[in-house]
Amino acid sequence: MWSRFKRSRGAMAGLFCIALLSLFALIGPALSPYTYDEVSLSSQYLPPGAPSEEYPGHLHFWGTDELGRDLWTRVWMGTRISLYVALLSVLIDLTIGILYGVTAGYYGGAVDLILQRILEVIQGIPTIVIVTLLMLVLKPGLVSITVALVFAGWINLSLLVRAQVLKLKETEYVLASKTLGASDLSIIIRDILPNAAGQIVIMAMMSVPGAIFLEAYLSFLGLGIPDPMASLGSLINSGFKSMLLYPWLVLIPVIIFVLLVVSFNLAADGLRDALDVTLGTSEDR
Amino acid sequence: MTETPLLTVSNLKQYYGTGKKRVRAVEDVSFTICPEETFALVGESGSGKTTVGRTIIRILPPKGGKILFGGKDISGKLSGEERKELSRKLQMIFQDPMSSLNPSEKAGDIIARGLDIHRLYSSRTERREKVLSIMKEVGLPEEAFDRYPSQFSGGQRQRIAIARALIMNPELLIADEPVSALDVSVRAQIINLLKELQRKRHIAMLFIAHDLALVRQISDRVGVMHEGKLIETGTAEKIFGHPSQPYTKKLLDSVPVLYPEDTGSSGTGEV
Repeated sequence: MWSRFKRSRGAMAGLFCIALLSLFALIGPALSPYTYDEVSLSSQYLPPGAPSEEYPGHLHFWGTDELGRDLWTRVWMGTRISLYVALLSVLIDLTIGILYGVTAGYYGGAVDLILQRILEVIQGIPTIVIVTLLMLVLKPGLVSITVALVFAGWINLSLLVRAQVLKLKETEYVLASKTLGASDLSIIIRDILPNAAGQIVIMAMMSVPGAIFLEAYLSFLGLGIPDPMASLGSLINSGFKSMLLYPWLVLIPVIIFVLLVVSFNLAADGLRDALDVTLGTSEDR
Repeated sequence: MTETPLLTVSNLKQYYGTGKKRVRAVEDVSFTICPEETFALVGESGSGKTTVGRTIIRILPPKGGKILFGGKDISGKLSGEERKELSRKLQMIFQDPMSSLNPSEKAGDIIARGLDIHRLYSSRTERREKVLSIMKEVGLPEEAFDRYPSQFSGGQRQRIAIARALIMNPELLIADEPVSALDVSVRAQIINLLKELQRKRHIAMLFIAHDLALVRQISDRVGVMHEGKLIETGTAEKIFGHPSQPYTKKLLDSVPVLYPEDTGSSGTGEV
């Protein structure tokens, strides 16, 4: 599978970009002497590459914002949060989404009927309402975003998995496995999931941009990451206010954000092709 | 026929749908199959022959009647244990080898599936050896082990399906139109392979087909199905030589004859 993945240039570029962004998210803030919430009123709106006032010999690589906070540090701190949200949404898709979809699709009948009605109720509640209600018991921040994603982030994937299972469980190779005496679990693991894997991977990866957007949108409404913590979403939203005067405040987080989303999509595409052994023989690819 | 039959089907019923929309697919079908015998079910499309096969192997639960296999009643509700035991003695080959093989598994793993389910090996090497020996028996090259179904031709895929069924050493094999989806040129090869394996391994076979010429060549006894009912059974010579039912005569007459002047209903083609 890996050898097939390697052959796709776009997928490799995507994977490389994700690795690079993750690396900088990890070590980026440590490369500068500032912390993400260090305010300096004497160095507001410094352009990228401006020398630092407090730390002689250091630069503000990407300038500073309206409170003189170092943008480089804040962008990489924000990337951490976006990557966390991305990872979380994939994880939720792959666990709750698959379990729920397989159970509903494979067992069908009354089980399916009940599970689908529950799902429709959850789907009917807007995420914003869930998060607002959560604020009654939780402080705004990563925890409430996590809970909101766990609550509703798996719905689309579970619908897709259910549809795939409904289709695949009627195939003759599933019948053949049944006549060989295979258990339900063995049929799901060997006959159904591998043949739905391509679609599942694509869908899980496609949910990443959505989850990152959700975080940005919640932060903008004051329901997500609170100041002085930063996420890519909140950085773009605050930079947007002074876009014409200080374009770097919005451009830099946007570029990182776009890179992140595009590389997830590229990697997902390559992964799908690598998983799909029916697309062609390994010799001619 | 003084032998004790391997399979006895009596008054088998099968319906699709419920209430007013209920369609009778199989009605009061009864027949027996003796060990090592080939019994063929023939009939036009929709006559219920595939449904009979699928009910016997319990893909579909029978709605009425009795199925005795090896002296045991298998028509009631089966426990997981009974189902597993049954799957070791009763196997099936499906019509279309394009859809009966899991496209995401290698041929070797597809064939070994039965071994995996019943834990019939103690090591990976033993598993591989067992698969390779059956692959040789059905005429697949050794390098086929690591290839995917999409890399095989139809005939070779059907060989994989045969190997998958035979690795369980079944006593009865249900072949549901095993060659009708294949090219005419490879049909004879697959049929000969089935005959040869049946002789070597002493398997009884329920052969479901609509190709009368083929049925005449392969089967010992024949049952003719029409609209869910088994209207006539008998030895192959009797059915093809002296059919007693008008429908059977019609079925035989519908076979295109090579020389129309020759009026003997010799059956040299398909229905």
